[in-house]
Amino acid sequence: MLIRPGQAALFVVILALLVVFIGYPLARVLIVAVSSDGGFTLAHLVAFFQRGLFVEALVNTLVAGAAAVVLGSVVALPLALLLARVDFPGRGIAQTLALLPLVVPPFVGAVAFQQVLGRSGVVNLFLLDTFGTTVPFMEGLTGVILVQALHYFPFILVNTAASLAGIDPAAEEAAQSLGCHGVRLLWRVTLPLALPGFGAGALLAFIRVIDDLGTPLMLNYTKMLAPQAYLRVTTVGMNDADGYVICVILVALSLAALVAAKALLGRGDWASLARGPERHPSRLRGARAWAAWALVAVLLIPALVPHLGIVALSVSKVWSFSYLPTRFTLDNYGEILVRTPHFVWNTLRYALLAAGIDVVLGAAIAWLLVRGRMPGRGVLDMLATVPLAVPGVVLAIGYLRVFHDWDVPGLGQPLTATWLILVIAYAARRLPYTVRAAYATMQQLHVSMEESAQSLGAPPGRTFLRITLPLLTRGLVAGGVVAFITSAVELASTILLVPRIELGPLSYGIYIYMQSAVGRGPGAALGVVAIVLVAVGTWVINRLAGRNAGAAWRL
Amino acid sequence: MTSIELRAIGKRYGAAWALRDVSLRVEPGEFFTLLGPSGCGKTTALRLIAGFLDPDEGEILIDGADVRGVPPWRRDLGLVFQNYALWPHLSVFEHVAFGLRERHVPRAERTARVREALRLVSLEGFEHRRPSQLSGGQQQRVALARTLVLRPRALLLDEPLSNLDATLRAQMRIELRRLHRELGITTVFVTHDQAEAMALSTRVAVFDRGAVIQVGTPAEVYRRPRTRFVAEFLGAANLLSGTVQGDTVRVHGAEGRRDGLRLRVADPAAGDGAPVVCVVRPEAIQRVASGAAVANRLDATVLTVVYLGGRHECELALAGGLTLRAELATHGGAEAPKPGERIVVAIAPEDVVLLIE
Repeated sequence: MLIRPGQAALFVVILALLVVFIGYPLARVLIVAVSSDGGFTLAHLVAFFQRGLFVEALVNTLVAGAAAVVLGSVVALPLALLLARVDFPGRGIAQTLALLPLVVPPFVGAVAFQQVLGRSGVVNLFLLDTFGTTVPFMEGLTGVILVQALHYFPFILVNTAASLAGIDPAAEEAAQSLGCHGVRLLWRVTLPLALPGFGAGALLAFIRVIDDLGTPLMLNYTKMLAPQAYLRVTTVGMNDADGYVICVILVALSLAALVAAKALLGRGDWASLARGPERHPSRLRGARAWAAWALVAVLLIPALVPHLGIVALSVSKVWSFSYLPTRFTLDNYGEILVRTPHFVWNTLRYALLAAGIDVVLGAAIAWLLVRGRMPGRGVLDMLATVPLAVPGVVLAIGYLRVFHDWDVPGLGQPLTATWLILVIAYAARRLPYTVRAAYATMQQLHVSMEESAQSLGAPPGRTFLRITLPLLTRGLVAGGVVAFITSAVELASTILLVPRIELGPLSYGIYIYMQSAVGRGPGAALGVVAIVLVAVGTWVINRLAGRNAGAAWRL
Repeated sequence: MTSIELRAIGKRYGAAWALRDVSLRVEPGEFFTLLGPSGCGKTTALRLIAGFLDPDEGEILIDGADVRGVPPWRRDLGLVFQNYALWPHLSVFEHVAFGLRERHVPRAERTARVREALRLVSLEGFEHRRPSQLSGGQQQRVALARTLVLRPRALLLDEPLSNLDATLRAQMRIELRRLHRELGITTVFVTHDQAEAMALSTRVAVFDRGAVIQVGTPAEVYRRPRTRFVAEFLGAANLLSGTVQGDTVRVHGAEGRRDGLRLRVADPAAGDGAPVVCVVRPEAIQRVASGAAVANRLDATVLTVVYLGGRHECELALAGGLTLRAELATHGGAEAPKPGERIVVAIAPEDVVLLIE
């Protein structure tokens, strides 16, 4: 087949971009981790496992990931069954509430949890007043696990629910007609069939947990891999090999989890079976409907109430050692909107730019992958997917390493000295969202739609603009909005890459404010702004994607 | 052996009636077919019997006992789904053992019965395969074995052959007939394929738009359709409208032409002047010699000929602008009809079925 020069040029340009901003920085991280004085060595890797602190950090990271997944599953599985299989008045509201934790950036959640469950939080004050004792919910690893489990459980929920909804009703009816029903039906047929979705959701949550830098930093717990990598690079310096070794281990863990999740979902013997008709659960009424809501409340209140604390904190003048704030004020909003408006402004422009770049690149890459004929598409696919498994810390360290001492011609300074580096980091990290959105839509577009345009005289480029792109718009924009909201609350790469404080976005502002007692009010106000941004974005996704709104959080 | 009876069943989905006033009785040991086009209510009827739906009106009796409110897992009926509904996480052996475990059958007996069931459907040696490693026909056999192993009171089959290719379908048809003969189990079979219904059934119930139109043996519903719908649904049919005159019917010409033709019938079943429709099956039309002394001799002109092997499907032009579809057998030396040829055909009076409209 003839490859048109336009397609080849596009392919080369995009491949170059991905290599420079994704492939090469990651390769450099790996190279530094396994080389010494220009030669290959495993000495750094061996040294890692000989350092007590690092081994403890590794163990803690794995424990946190596993425990958060288990705890999250306890919340997510009953909810998934309820939402996928039972209809009750207000089910839509319950569904929205269950996704709400995703709306709160995890590090903001960490602050909220401190306020409610911390040493002098509401719950412990109550326990102290009533029983004369306190429970260290938020101390050390426990706090990290608690915050992450209650933040990331929607990943498990959404993936499991999708899997449950995809089960052929006949598979369950067949079991029923053979005498199996109720809990046994659940155990012998339903849950095994939902296992791939559950497994994928659990692994996705696991990746998020080990990738999360903000929560441990906010809770001041650093004996985990991501904070250790951050500390090595910021305190020991860019030439310390240990930081890079930690990065390599982080990527290896995420990559393994991602591959496992893909393998689980891609199991042919699950997918190949025929599908039956739609399922129509009967609607619960009266006492049964109330029971459903009671279950929803029991499961969701622990995850949602702390976030109300953030709102309360943002409008309080004083809130310490009391159940509720004692004096209210709007000064905190004045502070962040008048005195330091750059945090919000920077967030908007960085995240919008990054999302715009992702939409354009995502459409082009998906087109090249699905319709293109260039050899080497596999490499393109891999480079565009790999950021899913690359923690923000790792990418940031790679950028610092690669771009730190290279002045961009025309700028006269290195990329890492400008805000551009933040936009590039966000765009690189969120690229998989738009690529996957566009890819999925494009696979459903029959090639004859494009061929008929071409036979009517439109060359491939024009066909793409007039036929393909309009059909892709919805999916692409939805993917773009996901890129926008997740970029807007990105902390891990931000705190390593912000060149100067006035160039920092909102997440950075929250982090800085929260370092001091007087900053907690304005920090919380910024947190509320972040929540509003993400909530509006989520609403837009819902409008665009309709019933498939959860798709953005699925694998 | 088990009888199944539906009495004045009504089933509604929202405001629309899926079934209305349906009554039928499946006798013990019968192979009873629910036949009709898609959306006619036949699958709804089967799911009512299986217990996955509850009727809004009427009652369902199994062995004379009202089963309304009895859940599917207590009805002891074997249901086989159109898409087989196999479980991807279980092996063939585990599929067949599934219901036995629900009934707490001891392990040794369980294994023996699974083996026997697999032998019955010729699947020995496939115990450890997963559904995805089986062909469509094999999946079908697993679905059958899984229900048969429980020795259910009756077997309910929901279009079990429609996902198979033509050769396999014919093979499974024979297989189903053999199983039914060997086990003597009461069987309710849902299909939209009239050939399948003819080949398998003891009796057939023809469904249309939520109602049972006619129940009878395959020969009865084919040869003596009670309505135009049944006549047309069960194979090709020529429908000629006319009026009764003694033991003949005066068939009206096309588009109101007065010059029709006259057909002698075996049983007029209505008085003079009654408007009727004559049903004539294509294979009931036979070519005869021009001078033959037979009833209902008609002069025809051959319009089109399609060779079907063993017979020719022809379109014939008759007097009065009427056309007939005929399947003319080509016996040993008989010459094939050619387009434009003038021939003589005859229809035996007993092959003219009257519908009173």
